[in-house]
Amino acid sequence: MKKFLYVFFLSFPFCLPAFETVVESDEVHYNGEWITLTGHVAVENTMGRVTAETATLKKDAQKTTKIDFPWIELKHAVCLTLADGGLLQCDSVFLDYTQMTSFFYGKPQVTYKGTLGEIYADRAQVDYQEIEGKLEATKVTLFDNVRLVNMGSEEKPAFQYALADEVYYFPQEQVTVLESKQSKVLFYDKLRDMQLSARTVRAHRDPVTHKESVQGVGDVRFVFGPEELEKIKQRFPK
Amino acid sequence: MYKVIALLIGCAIILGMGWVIWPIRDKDYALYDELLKSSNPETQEANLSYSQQKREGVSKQIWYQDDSPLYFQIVSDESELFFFRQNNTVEVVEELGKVTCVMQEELYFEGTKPMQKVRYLEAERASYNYNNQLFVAEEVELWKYQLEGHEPPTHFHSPAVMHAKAQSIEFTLKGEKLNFVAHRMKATVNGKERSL
Repeated sequence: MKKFLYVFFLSFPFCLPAFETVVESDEVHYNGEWITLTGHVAVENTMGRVTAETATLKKDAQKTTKIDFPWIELKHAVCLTLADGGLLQCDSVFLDYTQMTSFFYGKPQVTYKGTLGEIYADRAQVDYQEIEGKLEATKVTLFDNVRLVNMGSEEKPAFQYALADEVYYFPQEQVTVLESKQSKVLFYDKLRDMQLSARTVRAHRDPVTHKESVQGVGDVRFVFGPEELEKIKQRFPK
Repeated sequence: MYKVIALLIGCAIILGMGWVIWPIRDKDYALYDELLKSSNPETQEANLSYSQQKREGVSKQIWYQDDSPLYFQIVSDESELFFFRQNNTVEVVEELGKVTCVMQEELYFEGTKPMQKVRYLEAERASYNYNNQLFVAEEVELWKYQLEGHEPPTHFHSPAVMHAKAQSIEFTLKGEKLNFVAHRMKATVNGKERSL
């Protein structure tokens, strides 16, 4: 679960400083302050290719950062194809290098499908920090109607499903926190036949032993109620 | 009084006879329209004229005021200058073959070191409209450089931070800001630059 969150959100082509990037568009406007790309916008580097209908880049006229255009917005039918085959789709993306953050908005949802699993959320936010010239994600947040499917890898297959209102992922600590405000977080591990219902679910992967642990906090139950079971079946029909 | 009434009746009879004898027909309306159009100076082709002049070894140097004065140079082996005259206005358009253009985009300092961003383009053909100062180039290759100094560059030795190909590129030097438009552009951006 954590690995594929990490793979996607660090791989956004605009975020990678070390690679040659190819930009294509039907029309480009530049007025000294804004660059607007319209029609069949595509940005590609060794990590992947992102397409959208429009892209807008705003210049840092005050030179507060070392990047010329620290504010980038991609709009309408944004589609990111990663080199490993992962596919992200959303309605718009806004990258703010001055605040070291990026926002992903879905219409209706931000979706990611990869070999390791699937992520669905109404919107997402990724915070970064710059370490020795490289951008590293420090926190990934998924907001509203979050659905996670973890299929695991070939070596270590898994069938884990989760429903939550919000998900926080801290890549450096390899910790994922799932929270729900109105209802409860539902976590189902099909291989282990494990059901977990709680206000908060915390998953941690030990970076040394690679051992994974899942912990429920607040009103914890290990058997779904009938409504919770129905919700899981509806949201994960397969 | 009777004389006046008789005169009016006489006039009415004569007008009535004229209506019967010479009615206004559709072709009269059409003739009237043609007369109107021909008397309208806007549609008079006779007022439109043009002349042309061939030039060789063309070089235009333009200083453009942005935050700081920026230098533009357009060079072409040969060009044709067209003067279109119509209704006391003259439009001057220069058609250029095989064009190169140096465009200073920004002058700035890195610490105390003067630096500049410069675009250099090569085009198969271009046109420059003197009236609206619009430059349009077709089949274009474009490079962007970050160079030391504020002096207009004459050579480009350092690697470009961006290389692009475009079906056409246009910009106007009229107005407060440089408006730059490219059609069907594909650009390769150096990773460190991350800009167009």
